[in-house]
Amino acid sequence: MSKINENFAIPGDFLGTSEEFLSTNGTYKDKGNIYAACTGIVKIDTKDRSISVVPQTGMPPIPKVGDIVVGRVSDIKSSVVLVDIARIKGQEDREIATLKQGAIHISNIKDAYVKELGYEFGFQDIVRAKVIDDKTLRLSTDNKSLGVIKAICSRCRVGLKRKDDKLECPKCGRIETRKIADDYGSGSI
Amino acid sequence: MSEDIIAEIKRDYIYNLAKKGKRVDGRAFDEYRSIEVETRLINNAEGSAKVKIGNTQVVVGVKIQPGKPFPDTPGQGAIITNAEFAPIASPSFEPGPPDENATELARVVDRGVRESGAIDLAKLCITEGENIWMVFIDVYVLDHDGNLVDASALGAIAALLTTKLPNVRYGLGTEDVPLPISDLPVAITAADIDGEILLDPSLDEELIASTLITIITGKDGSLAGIQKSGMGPLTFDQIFHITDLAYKRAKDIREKYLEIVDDQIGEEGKKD
Amino acid sequence: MSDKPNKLIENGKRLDGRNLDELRPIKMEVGVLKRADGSCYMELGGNKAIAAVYGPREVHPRHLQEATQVIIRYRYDMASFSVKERKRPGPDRRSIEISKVSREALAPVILKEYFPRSVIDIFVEILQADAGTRTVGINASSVALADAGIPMRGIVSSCAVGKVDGEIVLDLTGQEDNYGDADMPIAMTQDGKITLLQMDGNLTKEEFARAIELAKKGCKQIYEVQRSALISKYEGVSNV
Repeated sequence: MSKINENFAIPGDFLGTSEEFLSTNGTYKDKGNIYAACTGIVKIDTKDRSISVVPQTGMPPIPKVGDIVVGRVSDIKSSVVLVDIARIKGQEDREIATLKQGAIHISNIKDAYVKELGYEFGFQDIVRAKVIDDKTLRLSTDNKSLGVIKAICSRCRVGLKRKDDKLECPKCGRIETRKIADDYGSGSI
Repeated sequence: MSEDIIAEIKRDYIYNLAKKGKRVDGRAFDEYRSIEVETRLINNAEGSAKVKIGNTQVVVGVKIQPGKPFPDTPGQGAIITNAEFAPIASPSFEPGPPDENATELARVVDRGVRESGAIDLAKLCITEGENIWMVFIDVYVLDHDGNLVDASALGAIAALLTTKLPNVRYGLGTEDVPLPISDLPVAITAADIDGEILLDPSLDEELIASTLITIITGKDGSLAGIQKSGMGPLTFDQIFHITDLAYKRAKDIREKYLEIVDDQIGEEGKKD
Repeated sequence: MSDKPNKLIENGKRLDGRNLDELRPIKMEVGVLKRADGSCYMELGGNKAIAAVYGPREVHPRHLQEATQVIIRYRYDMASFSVKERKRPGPDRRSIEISKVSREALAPVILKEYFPRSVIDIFVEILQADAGTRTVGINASSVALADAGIPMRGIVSSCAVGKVDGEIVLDLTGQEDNYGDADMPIAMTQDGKITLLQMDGNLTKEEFARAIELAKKGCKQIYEVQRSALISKYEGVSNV
């Protein structure tokens, strides 16, 4: 069994026994022993005797509460908008490793009364949202920086341009409403 | 693919920058990313080169084997060019035979080598009508961050410059001699981003460009191949502008990266 | 291939000057590709290979998904110019078999339950071949998996042992493989569990036992190279 190089570990390094430590993130237990499951720095919390490995490599993106995600609206139901999550902000280069479908409930869209979801989102719009529950992937757009960041005209399918707090189709002139993010159309994730 | 949605979001950002004369990585419109060329890295190939343009990486190997000539060219060697989009290179590449993009890449690389007359095919005849040298140019894309054409074409000519005919191995002579090379074609690709012309597009730029165009020029500045790839139209003015840019940039690249390789061969030849 | 030499071993030394229990020179570099989620370049003697890892990511076609765990795919491929005689690009029976056993060599160390319904793709491209390419592919892949942050029980290390001129030797060259009596690639975890074992040729039971012992020694050395490649890439980085 390899010895720990200072406090740096690679997968399979023996870290201690479960009598000594509580095995947490970046580790795994096998027959009462605790080993590193990833490459990184070994952390021991002396208070609760927990041991973890803080990865120094890139990690498979998994949405967590508080993460900002971007995705595309795949369905609009009566009280919920379904979003196919594409990426997590800060890990844009890598595909999400697990569950990808998120949902925005009508109560989490904005800090105001929402009469109908069709006024807030359009099918295939790209939205930026915050994860508020990472088990069921519930999302919220209740913040001025969150909401639709790119929308297409429901009639001619071209990108809508922002006009004050509404969106206008540069082709047919149609005006549509959305719960837009404050930087709509800037192209930032 | 979630890659598409990211490109769609970035589109506005790249368009907005382009309107101000800027690019995401800070380059000027006619500026190339850094280029690295390494030759003779594959011992089992008769010639080889690895080219990096920014984060894009390709390896080109040249294999030379005797074979039968084509009936219409009994006294000439043959060039067979193939490109593999190795799945290590991009999340969107899948294992399998070359798709239309890989085939297009192979054919554009082939065109540059063939039409510039870079290889003197008449000198590759062993016995007329019976035996000739077959030149296999195999492009393997290792990391795809845009502009595979220029990287592959540069890799192909750099690899050919280091290629030796394996006379000894096939009992056709007492020493291996350099493949006769008479031109140094260089491909330069530009992208049309909302009417602006950007040289050496990165992947982000390529994904949202309305069209790409590749101009291949030889040593004397004449055109050896062109490929417009993509659905957006181009104006005559744009095309002449790109041709001018391509000629200048190709000249720089040829002097900096290919004539050096050429000199190395010269010196090595003297040592032998 | 070259003609058969009279002797492959003389005075306890092999034709390339190595001792019987010595590996060829190794070079290993982590994170060599930008697009891949994890990658590793490895040289072993004349072998040059790149391994790349993508995922966990969505499985296409969908019916391949497994509800409770991630699936692993492994594709070993030799570049057409990696061998003396040009190889036609694409898979053949040999590469399909190697892909299968290599996948099975690595799968036991991956903590698969973390990513149900997803796939981890491991791709290996052999740029230059000089005997032992499957072991190089497995070694590089194992490190590429760690580079991608895939949770693992440990690192898999692999080497070949064999019998040449009646002697048990470590890490055969092409010549030794061609004219030797046996070739046996092995992969194992650092706690000594064997995850790949193939043999072709002839060995007595005693020779087999000695070969296994020598393979353990070889894998241990490979492991140290893998370990230091990961440490030199990441120890200096601070994400804390």
